[in-house]
Amino acid sequence: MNRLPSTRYLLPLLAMAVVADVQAFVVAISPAPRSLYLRVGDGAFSTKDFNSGGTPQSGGVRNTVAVTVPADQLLAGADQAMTSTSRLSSDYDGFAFCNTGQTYIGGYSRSDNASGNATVTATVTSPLTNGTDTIAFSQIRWVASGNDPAGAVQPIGSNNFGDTTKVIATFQRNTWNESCHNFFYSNDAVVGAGIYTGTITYTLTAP
Amino acid sequence: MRPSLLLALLALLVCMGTSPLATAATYPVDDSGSQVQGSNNLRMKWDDRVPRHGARSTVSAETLVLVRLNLSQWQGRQGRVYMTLPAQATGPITATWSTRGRLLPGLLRAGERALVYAGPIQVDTLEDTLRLSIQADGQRLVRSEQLAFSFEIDVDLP
Repeated sequence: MNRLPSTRYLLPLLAMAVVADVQAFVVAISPAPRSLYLRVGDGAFSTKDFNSGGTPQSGGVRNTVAVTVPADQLLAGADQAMTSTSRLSSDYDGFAFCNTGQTYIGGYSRSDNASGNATVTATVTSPLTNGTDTIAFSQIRWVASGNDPAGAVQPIGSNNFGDTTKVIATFQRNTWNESCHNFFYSNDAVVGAGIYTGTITYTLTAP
Repeated sequence: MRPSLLLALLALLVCMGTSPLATAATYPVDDSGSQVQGSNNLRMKWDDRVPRHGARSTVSAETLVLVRLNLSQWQGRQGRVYMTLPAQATGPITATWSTRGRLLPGLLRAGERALVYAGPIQVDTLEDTLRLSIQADGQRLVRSEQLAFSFEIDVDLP
C-alpha cells in the first residue's frame, strides 16, 4: 500500500511555505542631482576654486573680442588676430590656463543620462553690423589651445562661427572641459569703414 | 522505511534544492520587524563633488536600519545568517554597513549575499542597528529604484 509522507515530514515543508513570504526591508534610492555649467570669458564663480569647495555662479560680464584692421591689410586679405578681455585662469583649480588675449571657455555637465552628452552651441544673437553694413559672423574663427597639458586635444576645438547657429563642442560627461580661444577675423572681403559690433551667445545643453 | 516512502522523500528533497547528503539547509528569515530608521528614500550624492577627468561616476547615500531577525524556529541550532539583495537593472549596486556588534559589518553586491551572523542560535530575535551605505553608478541610476534587502539562514542539520 502506498502512503503519503507522514506529518512528521510535511511540517518542515509547510513552515517553509509560510516563511517564504517574509517582508524584506526596502530602501529607495533616487538619482543624484544633475548640473551643468558653462563659462565663456570672465564668467562668475565663488571666491574659491571648484576643487577647493567653490561653486559656480550665474552672471558675469559680456567680454569683448576686437581687432582694428590696418588700412594696408584691407586688400591683402590676411587673417587678423583679435584680442580678448577675458579672465585667464581656470575656475577648476585657479591655474593660469589661458594667455593674454585669449578667451577662456569651459564648464561641465553632470548627468545621470548615460546615453547623451551635452553640447555647446554658439548662436548669433546680433549680427556684426555698422549701420546697414554687415560682416558675416562666419568670418570669425578661432584656434583652440590651453597651457596644461601641452598638446592635449582641446574639448572645444578650433572652428568658426556659423552665420546663425552652430554646435561647436560636445562635453564629455562628469568631466571639466576647458579650452582657450584665439580669435581671428578672416578679412576675406573689403567692407565699409567703421566699427562693426555683434553678439554671440553660447549655450550648453544637456539631454 | 518502505522503499516507496524513501523515493517520495528523495523527490521532495530534490525539489527543495537540497540533497540528503547536504550538511545545511537554507531558509528565508522573517525580518518583518526590521525598520528603516533614517530616510528610506535616499537622494544619492556624487562621490566626487567636482567633475574632472578620471572622476568617479558613482553616487552614494546612507541611512540607519534597525534589523530584527526572527530566528525562533532555529533556536538551539548552529547557523549562518546572510543578507541578500537582488541584482538590479541599473547596474552594480554595493551596500556596506557597520553594526553595533551583534551582527557582522560587511559588504554586499546586488545579486549576491553577505554573512551577517555565524554561530549558535541562542535567542528568538537577533537585533542590531546597521549604518547602511549604498553606492550606485550615477550614470545608470536614471530613476528611483527600490532595493529590497532580505535575509536567509543556512542551518546546520542535526
